[in-house]
Amino acid sequence: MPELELALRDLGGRLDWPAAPDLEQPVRRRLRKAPARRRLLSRRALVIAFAVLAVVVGAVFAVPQTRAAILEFFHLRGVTIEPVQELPTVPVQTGFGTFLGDRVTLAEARERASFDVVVPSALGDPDEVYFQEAPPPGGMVSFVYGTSDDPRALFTQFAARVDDVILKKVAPETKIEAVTVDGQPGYWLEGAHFFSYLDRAGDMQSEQVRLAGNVLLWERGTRTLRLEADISKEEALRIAASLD
Amino acid sequence: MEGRPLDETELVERAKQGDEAAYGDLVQAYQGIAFRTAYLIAGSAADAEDAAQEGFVKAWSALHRFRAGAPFRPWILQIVANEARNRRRAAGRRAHLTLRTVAATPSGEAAPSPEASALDAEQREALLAAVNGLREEDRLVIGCRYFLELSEEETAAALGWRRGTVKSRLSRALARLRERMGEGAYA
Repeated sequence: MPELELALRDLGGRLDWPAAPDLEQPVRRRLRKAPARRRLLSRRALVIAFAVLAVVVGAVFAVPQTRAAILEFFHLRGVTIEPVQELPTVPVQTGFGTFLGDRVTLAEARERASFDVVVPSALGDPDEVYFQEAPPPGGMVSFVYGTSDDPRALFTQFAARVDDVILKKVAPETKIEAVTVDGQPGYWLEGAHFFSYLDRAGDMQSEQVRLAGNVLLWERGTRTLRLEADISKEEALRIAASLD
Repeated sequence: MEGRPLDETELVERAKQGDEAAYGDLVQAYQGIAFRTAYLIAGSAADAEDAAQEGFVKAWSALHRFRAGAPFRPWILQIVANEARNRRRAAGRRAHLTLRTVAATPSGEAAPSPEASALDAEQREALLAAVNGLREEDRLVIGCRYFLELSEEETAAALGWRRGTVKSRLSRALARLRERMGEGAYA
């Protein structure tokens, strides 16, 4: 994309928009006075071809210009995974150097995050550390192992809230398995899936991400942790158990 | 599991059946972009809120005309943008976009991200001032495509233009913006 267009997009992410009001309640109050016109024909029965699983998944990635993204929604207790027959066609994102936030040192990440930053000792010190200011509240810390262009593993942590719900679509071939990490709930995902995230305007977007590998998501106290790498479930659980 | 959010097509179908909660989920999903689009067009937060609320209420009454399986976002943006235009005509105002105050950059050996280093604060101010100074049509198409990140289709719906018109006006708007920024500022 030409430089000017990139500059405009960058600018777009820094605009001081007035806070968007919550419209749901006022709109719904008015609907009661303006009932929808319904079709007279009987509707065909809706075939619900999928089970909606009340489970979790994080959406740590987004396209660069929307990296500020939905991070506040990525948590275990607030996410729904929906297996669907076919994934919608969306752009595939590769690499993730630019949308994890600011490149910082581990010490800076510890200082700026509102929570205690943990390091998986099985992986050692990260090669790159990123910090994303809110959202989510309290920030998000990401460790890249390898380089952001050629990552071997990505480990992300952020403070989780419990009141959000996110819809996450996964392909039929994607394996979702509930796991326990240190007594707390988590999920293991293998195969193609979607990330949903909030864009700048606070609306939900979907993006297909070319994964470096499989994903383990789990809760630890008030935080949600996410590990993505081309490793087996056993290996991921071993790494997850090695937090200092 | 019951009570969980459903996919958009199903939410629309349910809303068509009169399910207010399903429609409420759609409002939640699109109110942010609807409000900002309305703000860009109408020029004040109060008008934008009013336009977005009115748009969602009108869309509810018009749901029977919504084509099953079509994307909801361009459709709602079109309705909300129409409301916003009506209010702008009444008020004759335009949104003056401003930048957020950015927190101090972290010190130390941290390398700025590629995105952060794209422009410095002064260049951003200059670029935004240039955009704000463009004629309305140019400012709207740039705002929709780059600030709101609407697709061409959504931009066409929001501005009431054909897609081809969006393309040609966008390219002319960018050319005029380059002129304002000075030759050579952006190749």
